[in-house]
Amino acid sequence: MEYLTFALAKGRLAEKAMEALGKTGIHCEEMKEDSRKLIFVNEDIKCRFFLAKAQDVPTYVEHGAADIGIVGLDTLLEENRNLYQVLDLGFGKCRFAVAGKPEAREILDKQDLRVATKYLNIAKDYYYNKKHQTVELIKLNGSVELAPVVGLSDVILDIVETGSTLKANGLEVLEEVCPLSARLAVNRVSMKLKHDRITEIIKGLKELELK
Amino acid sequence: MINKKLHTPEGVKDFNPEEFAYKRGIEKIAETAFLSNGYRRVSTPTLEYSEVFKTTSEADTEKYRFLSREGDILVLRSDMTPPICRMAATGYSDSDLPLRFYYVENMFRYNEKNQGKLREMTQAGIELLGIEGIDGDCEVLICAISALLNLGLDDFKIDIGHSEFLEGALSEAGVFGETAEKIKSAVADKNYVGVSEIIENIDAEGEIKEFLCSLPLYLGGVEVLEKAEKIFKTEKPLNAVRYMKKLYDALKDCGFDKYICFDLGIVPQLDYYTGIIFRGYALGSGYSILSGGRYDRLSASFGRDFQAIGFILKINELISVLKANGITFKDKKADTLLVFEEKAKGAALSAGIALRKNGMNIENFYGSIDEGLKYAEKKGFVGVLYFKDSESVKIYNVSEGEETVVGLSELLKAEEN
Repeated sequence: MEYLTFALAKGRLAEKAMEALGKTGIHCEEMKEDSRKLIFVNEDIKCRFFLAKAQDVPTYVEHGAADIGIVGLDTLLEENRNLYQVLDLGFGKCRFAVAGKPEAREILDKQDLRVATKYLNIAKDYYYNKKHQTVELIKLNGSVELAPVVGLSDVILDIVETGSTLKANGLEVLEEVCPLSARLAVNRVSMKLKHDRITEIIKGLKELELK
Repeated sequence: MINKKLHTPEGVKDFNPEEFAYKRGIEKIAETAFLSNGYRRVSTPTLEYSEVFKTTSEADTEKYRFLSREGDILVLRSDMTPPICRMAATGYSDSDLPLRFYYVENMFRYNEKNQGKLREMTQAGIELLGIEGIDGDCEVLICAISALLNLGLDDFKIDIGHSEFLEGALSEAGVFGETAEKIKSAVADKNYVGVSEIIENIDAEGEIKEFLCSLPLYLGGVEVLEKAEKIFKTEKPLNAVRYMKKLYDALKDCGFDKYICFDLGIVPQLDYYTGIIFRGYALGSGYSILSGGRYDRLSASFGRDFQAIGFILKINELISVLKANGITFKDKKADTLLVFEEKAKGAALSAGIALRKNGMNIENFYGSIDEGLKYAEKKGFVGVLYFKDSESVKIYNVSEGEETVVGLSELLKAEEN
């Protein structure tokens, strides 16, 4: 039998994912050990697992280097790859929002609003296709909250979980963009050629969701 | 700054002899399959007026476009179907139908950069013009499956869907307009979570709602069609399902049913498809290796009306699939090395001409016999012909280490037989 390969977004999402998969009978003891291995195998059920940077998970899945990926919707939207998005896993819940200083509320709809974000594609889609507003996008790679505080941008478009980082810096959510959660993504070819095994997994995870 | 003189642009690549052997090997096998089914090779220009492709929904930004000196917008072809349709529509009359054409050509498309995707792709394909319905569909699918089998593949699936099905399913569910478009685009993006989210908020019959929410489960064997047949009551979705069932039966009669599966969630990516749409998959590539479908309305945009169906083999994807499956292709290298002393040069070169005429593949070596033998061993030559003088030739059998000496006339005579 061919291996079924899982790409998991590094971090808390991967832990949650293994927990959910564990409940459907898919687990990997090797992963619990502290090691420098990059890929973990469970020969009994012919499954392989690897951890990757979230942004890279869709790439692995699209090319078929992984059959299945577990990654946040934020990454899927930003990367926009050709793959199956089959299941909302219900964990890793957060949302995309526009945030800034309270006084920025007045200028949200003005043309040439300066928006700092890590998510250029999502920001473009939101402003150009949904709000029909021309804005100035500033790409940052981390600590986006800093931008409005030091005056690099008017607002930010970012993931908001609890909002505590925003609050601590005198910022608040000004507009909701969309809710986010972890998704199960499947490669196009695997979906057809490993259909039976993948369907079992989808069904198993779906049942968890109902409970 | 990269030194552009040393690099190829994004998405195009060189083929060295080893790599090219795969490409050419696949092309030859495909051609044999097409020829044996009565298809004749055609070629169309690499450049076309952009109007030729105006029939397709493919985004304009995906095409290589430029302005000619005369001020026309030209495109590098991204798809062979519209040009062949143009050629058939303008060069042939109805009494010439059916027409069976095949081609092996390069296509150009601006695929995303830095994702390991090519922008110049080789496709080998057929177009069957003027045969409608199951007969045409079946012929083309048989041709596609035969080509893959001839390549030595066995573990592959051709996934068939119908362009009318989803539309019909949605209208039976009472979903029209903007919501229907949203669902179709989510299905096209394979975003089933998105589909479920939209469906949950609409008012439709339970069973159909349930069906639309579990579309990813509706791919598989003929049982998928049987399940759908029980759910739907109206003509449009049922006709599509029954048509696919009939096609399945026809392919089953040829013993090809094991290569076929169905996907009710297929949405046509090119807007000219009118009936079945299909894609082929095999382990070893994350992308499809084959795609095709029926496009009965495309000819109308060229002022004619004939039914048509076709498919393409994606040669670049097939190369990786064949390699992953351990199927190899080798190019026809020279197996004989010609070594000669300066004084025997004339005799050696003219003997070489005569022997090549008889079908031998011979490479000339410019150096001493010792160097020549080393070179032959390193490069895997079978034999070495050594002309020490113009009368006699020493033949080395490289792998067995044997040597024989023959007269020149003897050598030429022996080879002739």
